[in-house]
Amino acid sequence: MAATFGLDFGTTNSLISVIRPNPDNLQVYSCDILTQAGRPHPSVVWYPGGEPVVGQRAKDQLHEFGLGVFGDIVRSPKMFLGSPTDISVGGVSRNAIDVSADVFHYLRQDALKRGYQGNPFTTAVVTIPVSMRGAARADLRQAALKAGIRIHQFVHEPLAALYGHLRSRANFRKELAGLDRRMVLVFDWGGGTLDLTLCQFQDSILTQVFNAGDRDVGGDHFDTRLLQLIRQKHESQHPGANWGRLQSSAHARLIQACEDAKIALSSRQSTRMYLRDILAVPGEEKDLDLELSKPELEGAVQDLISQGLGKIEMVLDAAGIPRSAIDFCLATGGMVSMPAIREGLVDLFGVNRLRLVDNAATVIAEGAAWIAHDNIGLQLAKPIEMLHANNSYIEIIPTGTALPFVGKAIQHRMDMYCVNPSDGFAKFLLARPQWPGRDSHGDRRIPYAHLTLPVDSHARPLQERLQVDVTINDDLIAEVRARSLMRQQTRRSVIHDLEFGLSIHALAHAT
Amino acid sequence: METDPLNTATSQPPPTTDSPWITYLTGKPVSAESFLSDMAFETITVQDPKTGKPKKEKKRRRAPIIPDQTIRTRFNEVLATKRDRVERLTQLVQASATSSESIRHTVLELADSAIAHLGIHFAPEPLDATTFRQTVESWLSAISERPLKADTVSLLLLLIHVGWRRSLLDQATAFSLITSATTPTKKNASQTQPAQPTRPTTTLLDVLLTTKLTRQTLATFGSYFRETSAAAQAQQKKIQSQSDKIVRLMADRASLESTVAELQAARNSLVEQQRLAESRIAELEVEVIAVRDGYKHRIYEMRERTRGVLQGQITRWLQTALDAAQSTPARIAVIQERLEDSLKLIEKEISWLRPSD
Repeated sequence: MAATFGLDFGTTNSLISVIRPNPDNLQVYSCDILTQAGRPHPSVVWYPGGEPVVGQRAKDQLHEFGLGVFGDIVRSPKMFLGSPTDISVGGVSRNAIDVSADVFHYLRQDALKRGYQGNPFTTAVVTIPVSMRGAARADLRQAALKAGIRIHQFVHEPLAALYGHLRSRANFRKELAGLDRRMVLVFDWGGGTLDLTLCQFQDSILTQVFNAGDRDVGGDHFDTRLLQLIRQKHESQHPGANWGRLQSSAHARLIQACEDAKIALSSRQSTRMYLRDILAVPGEEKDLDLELSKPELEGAVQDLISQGLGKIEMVLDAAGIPRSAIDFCLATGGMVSMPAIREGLVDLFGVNRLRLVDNAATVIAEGAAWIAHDNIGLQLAKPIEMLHANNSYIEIIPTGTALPFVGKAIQHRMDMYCVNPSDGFAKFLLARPQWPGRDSHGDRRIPYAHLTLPVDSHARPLQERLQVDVTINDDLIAEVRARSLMRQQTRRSVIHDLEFGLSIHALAHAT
Repeated sequence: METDPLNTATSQPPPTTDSPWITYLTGKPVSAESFLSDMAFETITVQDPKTGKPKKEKKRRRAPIIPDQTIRTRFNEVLATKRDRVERLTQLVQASATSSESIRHTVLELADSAIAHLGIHFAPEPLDATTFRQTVESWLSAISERPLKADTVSLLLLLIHVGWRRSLLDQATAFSLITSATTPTKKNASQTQPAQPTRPTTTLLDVLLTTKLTRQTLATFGSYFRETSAAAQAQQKKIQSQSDKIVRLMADRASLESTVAELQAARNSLVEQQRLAESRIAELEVEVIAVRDGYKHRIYEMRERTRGVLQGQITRWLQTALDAAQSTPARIAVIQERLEDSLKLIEKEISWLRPSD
């Protein structure tokens, strides 16, 4: 079974998932999530010297919250991809591709040792954030390849989450059909970031029409606030307590205690925290012993909650659609299990339009696996257009164009003539409509790229022929190359933020 | 060196008295059978014991009159001088068939010698059938004229008789030689080729009627017809039997072909069943692997989850509870809460371990 698998290379956690026949009923397929001790693999790499350590063992070495490099530990190497500079890890300069490759390698080896007969785990559909640009995608492909994984296709995380959620439902085809031209908000509040993505089903393409993210309200910030609250309470109990003398082992224990407290307060009004010998001092203040209530926790993070929930209104306002136009809100990510956030979401969407899924931590990986299993391809969500001299937009590549899988590319060429060469330049503006399906003359456009091409200024209008080639590669990067045939000049530009979506035509044949 | 036997002079003086063998050739024609009888028997005069009168009585000679070498040479010389003497020798060979072994042997030796004297040499000795046939055919082919002259025909008949008696000829070869002797040369045939008759104009009866019939000839033909008729009837019965057998065999063959077709169809059906079975086995093997891997994964995940719970929360909470119990004073609330959380978690996780049915 050399099936293409799904891989969620997440900011805080990563997972491999495989669709396979359910052993209880082989006619039905189900998704296997390859966890570690029942949990996703933390996207953390530790370089202690020698072989890198990845996953929970690496995370256990962390003494503080947040994303990035902490000594000889890298948390979320994904965030460094696409950068031309190396990162310094424990004083050693490392390439983000290599660090990411270590995560991929670890995940693949973990999958291989499970003994899935015949699956070499060499071909994957990999999820990426909407905001990940082309250069980062290219780096990601290279990192995966170093670990022996060929990225068959990228897919945006919110689309994978939405597809994974819908695909696991019994009547998913009917539900998909009912969502035609409807809006869905994917609200992904994880440990590192909050991502909001407005998705729409349009002409059998599931695409995101608006996206916003916030790295300042990720779950790590909640943990930091909670830790501050605990410290404040401890210091109020013991005014002389010196937190500068924190035991070396206390960092990890405190991080874990914060995690436990959050879990406890999701089901009870208060919790008792007790940690022995956190401070290297004599007396009672060396132990942490305090009661933490839900209002205290919520009070400590209220601004973060408000900021995160406030993003919803901001996104809807920016997109210009009312909240009532949202068919449902799919809430994923570890933070949505926090009661205050749940209640906030219920307030905004009501119980019926809020979907809180049990598999919030794995739904993106599941979606990637289902997309791989159903062989769902990517399509251009909006046309690539060029501004014409008469101020109208002409289409170069149409909506719905199938985007290339690994190792492939598509190319479109357009020939035209320079209308006014008097200043010696031809100007090109490539753009796309703001909204899918709204590409008439007056609809608003968002620019993709500008090019200024030298032309023969002595040529008559409409004499010099111009040639524009647009090539889209498997990293979903579009290269625009314009050429003046008389002046023999070439200019190029690269588009990294192509808008693409999932083609759900193939679902008719999915099992 | 070849010599003309009819013109060869001899330096040997003629015998004073001719041997009966030479007299047979040169004298008044006598029946070959009677001559050979005289050579084997002698007539003696004995007294009749009843009447006391002398009477003539035939008695087998103590030894037949065998010609010596001189007589044989003379015999050949005399034979070559007249054409009908070859025919007389031929009659001797013919008649010797019923004679004693010594007479028959003597006659054949004389014939062999005469043939050689007439220029037909068989080599090498001992003579075999192939050499005999090839020698006669070669001799015949060297004679271009057709029809053959009478003396050539006489010599051919002598050769056929000798060959037949010596078992150097079979019937087919004998008739082949006769056909060869009587067939016109190709040149003449092409000039005078008439339209081929649809039926043979010469029948056995034609042969019979053109033959100088004697009582012995008729007896021979009669015997021949009886034997051939009996043989024909036997062949006819055999043909009928074979025809019946062919019919039965054809019926058997049709039946077997039908059986073969049925078996072939059954075989094809079995092959198809086997193919389907193999396909199904392959499917089942895939399913077995799928089921095995599926449950293997579940067990793995269950173990991992259980390990995660035990090694993670449960251990940590119990450790906290233990720390709280060991502190002074003991933190009862902490202990209670951790134990409650542990119990809740265990209860929740047990649902994973319960059978699904």
